[in-house]
Amino acid sequence: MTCAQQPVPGRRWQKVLYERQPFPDNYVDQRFLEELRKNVHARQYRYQAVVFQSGAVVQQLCSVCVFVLTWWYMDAGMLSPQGLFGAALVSSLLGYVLFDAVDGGAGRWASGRTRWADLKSTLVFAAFTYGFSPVLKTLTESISTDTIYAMSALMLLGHLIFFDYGANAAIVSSTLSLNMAIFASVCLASRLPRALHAFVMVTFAMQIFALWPMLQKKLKAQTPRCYVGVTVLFALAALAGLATVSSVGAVLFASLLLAISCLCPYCLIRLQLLKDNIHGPWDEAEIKEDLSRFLM
Amino acid sequence: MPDLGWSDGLCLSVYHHQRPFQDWEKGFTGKLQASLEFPSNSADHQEPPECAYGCWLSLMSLLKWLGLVFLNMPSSPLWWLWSAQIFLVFTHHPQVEFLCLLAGVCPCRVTAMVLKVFFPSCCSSADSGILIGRWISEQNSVVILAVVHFPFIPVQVKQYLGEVQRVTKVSVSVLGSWSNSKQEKEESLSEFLEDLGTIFCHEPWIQISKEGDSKFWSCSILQKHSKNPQEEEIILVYYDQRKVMLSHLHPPLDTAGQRAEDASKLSAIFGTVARSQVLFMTDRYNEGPIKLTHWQSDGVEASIIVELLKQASVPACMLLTFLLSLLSGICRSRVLKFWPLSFLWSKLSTCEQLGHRLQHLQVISSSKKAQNQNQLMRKANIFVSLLIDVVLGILLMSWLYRKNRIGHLADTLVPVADHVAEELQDLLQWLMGAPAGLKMNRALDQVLGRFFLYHIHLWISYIHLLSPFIEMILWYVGLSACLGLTVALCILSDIIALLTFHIYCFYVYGARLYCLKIYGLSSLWRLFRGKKWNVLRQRVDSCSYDLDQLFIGTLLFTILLFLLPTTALYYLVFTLLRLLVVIVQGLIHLLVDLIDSLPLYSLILRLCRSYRLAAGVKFRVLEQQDGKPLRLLMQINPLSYRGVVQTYRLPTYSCYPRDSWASLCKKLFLGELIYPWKHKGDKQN
Amino acid sequence: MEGGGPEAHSVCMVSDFFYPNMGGVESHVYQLSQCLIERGHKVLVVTHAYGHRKGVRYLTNGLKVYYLPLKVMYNQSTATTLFHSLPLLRYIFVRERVTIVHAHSSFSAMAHDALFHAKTMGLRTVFTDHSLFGFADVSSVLTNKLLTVSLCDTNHIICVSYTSKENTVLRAALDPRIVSVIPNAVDPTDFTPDPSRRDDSTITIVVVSRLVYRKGIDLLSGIIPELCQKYPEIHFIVGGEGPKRIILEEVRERYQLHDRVRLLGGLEHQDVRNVLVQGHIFLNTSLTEAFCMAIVEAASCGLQVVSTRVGGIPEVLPENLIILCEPSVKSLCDGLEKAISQLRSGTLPSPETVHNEVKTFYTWRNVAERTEKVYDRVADEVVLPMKERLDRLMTHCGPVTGCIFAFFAVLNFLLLAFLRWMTPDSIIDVAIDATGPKGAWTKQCLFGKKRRVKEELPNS
Repeated sequence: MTCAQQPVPGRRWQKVLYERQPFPDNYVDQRFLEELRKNVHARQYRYQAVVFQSGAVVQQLCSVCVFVLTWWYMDAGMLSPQGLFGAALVSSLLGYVLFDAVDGGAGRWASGRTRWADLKSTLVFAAFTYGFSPVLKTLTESISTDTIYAMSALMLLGHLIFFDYGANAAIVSSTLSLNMAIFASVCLASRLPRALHAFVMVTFAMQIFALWPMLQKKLKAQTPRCYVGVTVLFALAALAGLATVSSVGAVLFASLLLAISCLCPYCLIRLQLLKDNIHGPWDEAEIKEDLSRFLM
Repeated sequence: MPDLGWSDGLCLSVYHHQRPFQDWEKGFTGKLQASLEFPSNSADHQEPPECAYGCWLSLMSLLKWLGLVFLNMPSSPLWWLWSAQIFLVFTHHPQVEFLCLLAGVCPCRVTAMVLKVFFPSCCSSADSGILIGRWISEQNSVVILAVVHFPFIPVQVKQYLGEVQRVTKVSVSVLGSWSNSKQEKEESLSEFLEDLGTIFCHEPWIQISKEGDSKFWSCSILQKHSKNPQEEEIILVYYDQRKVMLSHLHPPLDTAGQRAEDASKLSAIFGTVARSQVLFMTDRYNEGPIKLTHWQSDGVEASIIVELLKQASVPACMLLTFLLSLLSGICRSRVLKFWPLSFLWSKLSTCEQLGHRLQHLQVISSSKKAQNQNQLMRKANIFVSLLIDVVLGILLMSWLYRKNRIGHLADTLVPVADHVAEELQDLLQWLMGAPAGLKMNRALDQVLGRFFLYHIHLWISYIHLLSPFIEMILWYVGLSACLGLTVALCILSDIIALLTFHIYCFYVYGARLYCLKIYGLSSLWRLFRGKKWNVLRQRVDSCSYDLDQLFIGTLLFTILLFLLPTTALYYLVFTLLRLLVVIVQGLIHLLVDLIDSLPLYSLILRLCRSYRLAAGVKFRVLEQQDGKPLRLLMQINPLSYRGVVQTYRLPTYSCYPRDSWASLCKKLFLGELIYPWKHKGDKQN
Repeated sequence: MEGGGPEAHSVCMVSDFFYPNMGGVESHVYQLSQCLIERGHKVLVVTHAYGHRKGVRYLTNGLKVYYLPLKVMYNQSTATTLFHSLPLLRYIFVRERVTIVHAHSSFSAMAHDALFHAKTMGLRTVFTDHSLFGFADVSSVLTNKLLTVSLCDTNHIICVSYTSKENTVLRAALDPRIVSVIPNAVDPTDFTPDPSRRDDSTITIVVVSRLVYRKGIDLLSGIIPELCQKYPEIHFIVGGEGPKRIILEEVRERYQLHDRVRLLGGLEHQDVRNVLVQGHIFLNTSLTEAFCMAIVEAASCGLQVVSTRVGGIPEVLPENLIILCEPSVKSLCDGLEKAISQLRSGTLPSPETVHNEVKTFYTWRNVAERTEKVYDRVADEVVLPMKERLDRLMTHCGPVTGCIFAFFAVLNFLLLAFLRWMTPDSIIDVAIDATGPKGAWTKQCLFGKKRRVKEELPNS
């Protein structure tokens, strides 16, 4: 059963199929698996850089936390809708100005979006939401509270999962994440006492889930130090707010933030050492160039 | 028994194998054919491995033989001898041959030649003479049509046969001689008969002779010019000439395989007898030079009433055609084609039915003679169906108009309509509350509920407006029942449709609202996921939306989603009501269709004169004597009732829903309007 | 023609892919079976039912094919529960007195089932792998794990190229000495050159493949405009069907090449040769191939081959018959230009010479001879008894998977014992051998159409 493993003297084994070689079919040459390579594309990460990038995740978590807190206050009556509306308006104006100031107008010039278009969009939002707020108010009257809470929690979780944190993965869908967040906000807003509350809540949700990440992305790209500072402040604010509602929650949230920003990068760098990717001539070839230029 | 075949068969039959061994790859087909051609006398003949088919065939032939055994069980020991002989035949000959033998049709690959002689039973007691008929060489069979008695002049006989051939297009010729000697055998007669063979020179020349009253005749064949002198076996098949002539053979529905071949052979025999009618017109009271014996030789049947009717029908048809053309001219006039009227006519089923009956009348009254059996039957069916319809209609009318039933009907109509409307109002009130414990959106609920309630209010007032005139309308409408029961039923169906018009309206409103909602939801759901429907490529593509589009879209999606249960419930309730009405109307239409399409004349014919509609023949084995040819009696197998209905049913104007249950459910789910009863002329939706 | 080798084996080929489906695996199984029958072994094929084609069929030379009524799940692969095919397969193996079970193709669930059951019944097993797999994504990880389980106690494995051997050894963590390399083959009489069919005023480049991503049709969509702009006399003929056809049509539309690029659509197997002989150059842009039969067919028809250097392709043809390039548009265009300049200068050998050279490389008879050696080796081996099989499963396949499949193996064994009690092997009748030395389809039985069969009947 065992085959002769020694080569016939004077004749070397060749990796060709069209010649009849004097070796048996199951002969294993020294050159077997000589083209095997391991971990060709392994990347080396630096701890600082990974921690910096994890700021995006931290920011989103804090956004969700702040939103839920705001809703809680409004529901408890501790926050008046007019107050919230005023604060949100002021901060949006500030953010709008900052958005253009950060990169000196280059982004606006590149995308070709005029201020008039921005104003139109804002008016459309406001009108629509205000018009529909009575309907929104009565939308979930007949559904039980538990269902609403469960649905909102699910939607916010989905928002966090599908959000575009800058990675190039197939699961990312910024449209879906934004829509889920708005769905959750509508569900929660319909539980508030009056139509005005609902209107203000939905507007606030729009600002914190759509406009705030846009600003942060720009900040991150242009002024990294500022970005780190803003993130830390935002996180502290969220924790403070959460602490007034529930201290256990605050502790848990704080540990979650720490885990994401400090522990996970460490694990990532450690696990890279255990990577074992196999490459060889059997791999499917990758087309490295952009072939759509032939079709344009 | 072959081992491979059975076990393969067993193995496969466990797993529902249906068409054994139909396609064979190259290299094997030849072998299979060779083994079938192989008449084996040796016991160690190797069966081809896969002959499960052959085994099934043998099983069937065994059953058929057993059936024959139990149906015809005379007490004569000779008969048992014969059956034993047949049994031995079965175990030695290939099975296919045995079936053909039983069917009286010549098999293609049998070693001995068999000649079949079809002899009319009416000629069994005829005097001696020569036999005339048709020789069908491809089936090796002879159909004897009549006996020409002595004395005759051969030239005249040939002339007469030539004339008959020209008229009927059947190749009639002199086939042989028939000798019926009441006393002992006469030697000289037999020589004379052989000499006749030289005069009339037909290959093969058949000689049948009967002695006294014996049942067993002796037949022989003279072949002068045959190359291979073979012992020909003769089978005598007796047939009832009159029945075969009048009968119409229906071909089997599956046009493949052995059965179709047998059927075409049978139709040749039936066709020969049917087309030779002119031969049977000369009876023995004719003064011509030729004296024939056939079924009508005792006198041609005729009936005065039938003749009178035939004479009277021509002017009646012409009158009817004239009236009908007048009527159809009126119907087609432009006056009736204006839009509201034409729309109304198309919706009322009464008009469809009347048009259908008009068409039938036109068919009956046309002066063209029916070309073939099918057309004749169709005309007869239509006539009988119309007649029965009108009779039933008149009966109904007489029952309705007695004892003022119309008045009672009219009196109960308005309260019934009121009652229905009240029930609907209660239903809506229930929906507007919390139906079955479901929680609805109160605002939308109220809106929809009030909208429908207003409609019902309108409807009630409309009915009350009409109430004084109802009796009169009904009285006049009831008169139209004299046109037929079907028309009355159609009118009933239309009245139901009119009375439940409000349900129809509600259904349409509910369905449209629901449909809009469903389409809106599906489109917004795609937006929710960031996708879009690509109309060009007919698929879903991803798309980057603007921020405001996303926002408004999601908002609308949420609203529609939460309002869905309410709309869905209203839609469900009204759809169920509508389906109920549709089912009732459908049942009435089914009844109308049944009356329209049932071929009553054919069914009565099948009941009374079953030999007129033949599906095939069956053979009864008569007493047998050694040395004498095999005697069979051919009896006509009438078509089954189901076959009669299938072959002769009249076409109707409505086509039943082509939608399968699955597509119907899909339409209901999506909120598309359903029209279950479409008419043939309507455009497809 | 004589009973081959020291003993004649009774081989059962199992695969989901067989006639009437046409493809590489299908023709491989059929041709190998025919050549083994010629060498005197008994061969039968087991596959799943295709439409109404259920039950037993016979192909040329009495090759018996069982079309089993099992449900097809996706892409001609059966839906498997691992146990429900045991009664059927056991019945077949017993009545045909099978000694070796030879399974084909990792995509075929029935093949893996058959291997599993054959090992429980104590039969010897051989597996042939026809394709290359990756390692990195989720589906690959799962498939490789299943393959490890399936192959850990298989007697011998056959791969169609050295690259495929390396790939299989790594995927299933096998001992390389039990893996043999036996390449595919091509019937040279089906693919003969015919220079009269080509148009020598132009240079025709032929591409025949399924139009899917794996075959690099995106590269083709880049090559066509580049070359057509540079060389006005080039024509392309593209045969095959698939979802990427729309890209080629868009390219043709964009650059107005309707008269120079012909898209033929799906081709029947018998029409491929007629398409190939119309060209001068054959282009293969696959991104991964274990053994590319297409290039051998094209070389057999006398065409010059230009191909990407992926998978097992460098091992298939010698350097003078093939031009290898990197899988990028630029490199393939360079390779094609080289071929064109060779064609123009007349340094290419004539189609006849190429055909005569190629027809000696790969023949089915050689494949059958080498496979027979594998069978002989396997027949001497011992099948692992139950205990050792369970040990091997648990140690070799990882803790979780190994235990799960060891459990399944035990269940399988119990089910087999139950079946043996219900219908003992002794009452299962033995089929008359259709092929093999005692076969009913051997030459002496084909005479006798008119003569009586006087020869001795084969013993049942």
